[in-house]
Amino acid sequence: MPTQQSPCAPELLELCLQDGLTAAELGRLEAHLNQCETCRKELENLAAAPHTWSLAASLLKELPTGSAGVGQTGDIQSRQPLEKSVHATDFVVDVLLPARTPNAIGRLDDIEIHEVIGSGGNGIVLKGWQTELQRLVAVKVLRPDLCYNADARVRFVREARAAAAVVHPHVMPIYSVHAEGRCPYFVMPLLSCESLQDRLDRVGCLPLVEVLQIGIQVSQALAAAHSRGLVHRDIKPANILIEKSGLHVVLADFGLARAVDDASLTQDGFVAGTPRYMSPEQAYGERVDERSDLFSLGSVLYALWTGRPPFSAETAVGVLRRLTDSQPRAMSSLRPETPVWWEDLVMWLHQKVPEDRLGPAEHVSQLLENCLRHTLQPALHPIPAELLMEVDAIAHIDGDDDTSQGDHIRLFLIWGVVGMVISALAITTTAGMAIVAMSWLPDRSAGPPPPPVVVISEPATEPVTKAPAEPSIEFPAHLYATEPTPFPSIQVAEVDDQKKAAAETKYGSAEEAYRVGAAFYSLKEYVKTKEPFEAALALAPDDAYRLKVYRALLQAYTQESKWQPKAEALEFIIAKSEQEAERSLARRELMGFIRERGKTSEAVKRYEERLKLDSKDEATMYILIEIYSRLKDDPRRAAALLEQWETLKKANGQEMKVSEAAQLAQEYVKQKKFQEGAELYEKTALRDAKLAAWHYKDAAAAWLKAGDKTRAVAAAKASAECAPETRSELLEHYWHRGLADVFFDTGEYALAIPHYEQAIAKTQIDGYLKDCRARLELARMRVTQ
Amino acid sequence: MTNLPDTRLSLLVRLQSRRDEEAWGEFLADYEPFLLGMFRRRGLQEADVRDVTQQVLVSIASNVGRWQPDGQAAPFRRWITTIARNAAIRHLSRSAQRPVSGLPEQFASIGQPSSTERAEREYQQEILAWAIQQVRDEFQPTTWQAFWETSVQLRPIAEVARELAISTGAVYMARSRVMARLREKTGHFDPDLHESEE
Repeated sequence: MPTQQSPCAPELLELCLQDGLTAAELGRLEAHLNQCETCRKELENLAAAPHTWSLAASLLKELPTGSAGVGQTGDIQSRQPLEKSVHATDFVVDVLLPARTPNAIGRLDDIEIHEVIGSGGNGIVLKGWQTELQRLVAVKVLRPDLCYNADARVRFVREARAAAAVVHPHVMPIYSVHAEGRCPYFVMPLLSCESLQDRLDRVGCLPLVEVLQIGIQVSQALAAAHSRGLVHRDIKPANILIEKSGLHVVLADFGLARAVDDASLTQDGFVAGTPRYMSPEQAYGERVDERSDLFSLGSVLYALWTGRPPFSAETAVGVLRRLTDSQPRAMSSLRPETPVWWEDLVMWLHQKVPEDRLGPAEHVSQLLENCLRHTLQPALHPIPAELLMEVDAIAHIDGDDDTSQGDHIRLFLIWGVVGMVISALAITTTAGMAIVAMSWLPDRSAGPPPPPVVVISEPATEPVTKAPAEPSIEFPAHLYATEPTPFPSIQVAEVDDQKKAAAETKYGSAEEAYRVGAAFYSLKEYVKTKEPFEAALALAPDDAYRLKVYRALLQAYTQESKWQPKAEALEFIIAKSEQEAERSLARRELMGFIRERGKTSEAVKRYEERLKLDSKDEATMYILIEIYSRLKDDPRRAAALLEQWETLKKANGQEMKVSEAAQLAQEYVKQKKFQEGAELYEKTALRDAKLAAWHYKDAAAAWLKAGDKTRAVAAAKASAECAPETRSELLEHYWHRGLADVFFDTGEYALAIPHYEQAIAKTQIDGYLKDCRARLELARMRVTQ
Repeated sequence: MTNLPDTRLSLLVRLQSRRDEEAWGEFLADYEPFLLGMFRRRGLQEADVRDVTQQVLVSIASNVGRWQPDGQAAPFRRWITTIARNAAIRHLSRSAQRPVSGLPEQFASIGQPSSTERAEREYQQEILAWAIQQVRDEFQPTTWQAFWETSVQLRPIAEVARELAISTGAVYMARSRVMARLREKTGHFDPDLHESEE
């Protein structure tokens, strides 16, 4: 008797209840439970609470006699052992001819049979020596008891011939098919292989990269078979052979499953062999097509990764029930390192309804290949997008309208489209305005591409969304160079010190890394710029250098599925750039990017948390103001932040910038705090001579909304006395029209007339002309009356 | 019962999530045969069996329409389970109130639990009997016997192990596995049997 008690294995207990243990684990747990009282109790508690045990006992004990039989072990038809074994000796006696050589056990036509190397529910595999061709072969013979079934024979041969027609590197080749004789058989090469089942029994489970490599090969084999209309119907680890040393696999035993289950289902109403890897439609006995194989492939992948089949029970009936009724245990509960996308992929293959299942095989193979790339090089290859999308999300994207594309010309701009020159681009705001001219020099030299050159002809002010009454001009929102990548992203670990060390060993200096990145950049291989540029970042001597690298990284980050890297780059530019115009563009780019990726709430969380850590972080505060103002349309929070901003400035003895004040005024107006807005606009006008005409105009509109016509007229008059910006005719049009509308609405028709006339003179846009002319007409009529 | 299809239609409109719809479908597929079997075993005439079953289903369906998500895991499934249980018990206790064997109800019930309590107990028994039928063939005879002998007949583990020629560890595994499966199965119909107090 052993005195030493084996260690407790709590993780096995729950698995045991779900029939999830491998044979080895079962043995281990059994031995442990022979001794350990604690684990016995624990197991019972996991199965049911004590009161449930006693409730069940008392209920079952007094079951009416009609159901009493359930306790006995009498006559239940469907109880059958899971595996049906065929004894090799019986087979040898029954089927083989006497051997001619001493080391053979028998003979099958010209093949000396040396040994039985395997037997399944459907046939027997023999190792033999083909004397005519002088080669070692493997021979598969139909199970002897099926040899007398004409249907089974015909199917066996037909399917073997069909399988022989599938010539594919991952499909077991078939030398010849022998339909005549007592037992039909076919001949295959003898490979130095083991089955995946043997491999699993030997090593437990496989690493993800190997599982993916095997999955790719099997799905390719399936694609080849399916393209010839052949459904394997018995995909399981035992039918997939793998090189003893290496990862090359071949799919074997094509069509045997069909021969077997058709025959035996009609005969004993039962499927011989293991149904663990069957599809639900197979279990139901329904029509089976290619998609059934894909379900089984899902089960194989599951088993390779977790070391146990997804559906298991003591009897075949139990397995079938599980197949049709329940979901397998999450792989992550068996291997916590299971990536979410991997779980999703296998679950997709495990859809009970064939229509919902991932497929066809060729697509599965492609997808697995992309997964393999991602697993090997996560930085270079994002997770395949379809694995990141929920079914609902797909529907949503389909239903999305795309009006923005049609309404606006999409200009490519900002950080990076090398060789494009953009001469002048007007950014208008209601609060103020500025003209920013940006240009990129064409890259003709072999050297690094030039970073974007920003030429500022006027100090930029904040671009602000239009007030409702303004005519609509919306081009700024559509100037982003980003390619839309609407897929959610996965969190990845942050940059750390090790990265710097790694960068140092690869590149001597930041400059060297930057040059490598720039070379790819000029080839427009932006994805490949990421690694060297990030190395340059790690080695950068100062913030000015980092700024340059971050600018260059924007392209690569734009193509990345994660949104955070690009956000970080833009944050850095917003915080560190010395050019107001660049900061402003970076903020706009960030807003557009967040919107495009649908990350508004995540962004709010990110920046609110950052602000909590440092309430004086100006860059963060500014970004948040933008988000609330432009993305969330939350003028209350935007105004609150702007006020906080003002307090912060005052504490430092500074005043808010006029553009900021104008924005705050606008946020007040949006909240319908018209008086506060109007007053702030007027105050701002006093500080900002250049844009005073605009501030007064906005004040006038706000007063009008506040219901104070007197002050509205006064503000409009003040605006009229200032010289408006004369840089853009369209802006002049807006200004004149805005003033005219205020005069018109306050009944000052005479004052409105010249502004409408000016507004008409400054635009060629039909809609605007029509509106202005109509109102001018009215104003003239009222004056003459 | 002409109103059943209508009820079902409005029910499906109410069940916006596809998962809930499936849960309802699965539930019906399981529950209807269960009810039929239960009433049949209670000696009702075939016509009455269909009638009562239909009544229970309709009363469940009309209640399902009132369902509101409560944010818990699998709430819809649990909810139908509770409703179904109440509806079935109501019918069981109602049929129990009718004098069955010619003995007046008041005599029969002296010293007995109230008819509702009895109906509850009967209902649980019916569920267990049904569950046993469902899962019986998922286990090898030895596994089943190990469960039955030790958990229902309450015989000592060691004795049963010897009799079945397996180790005590195997008996412990067997009985717990059967129990867990029974609980899983009955949980579809009876929350008490499913949710142990942990």
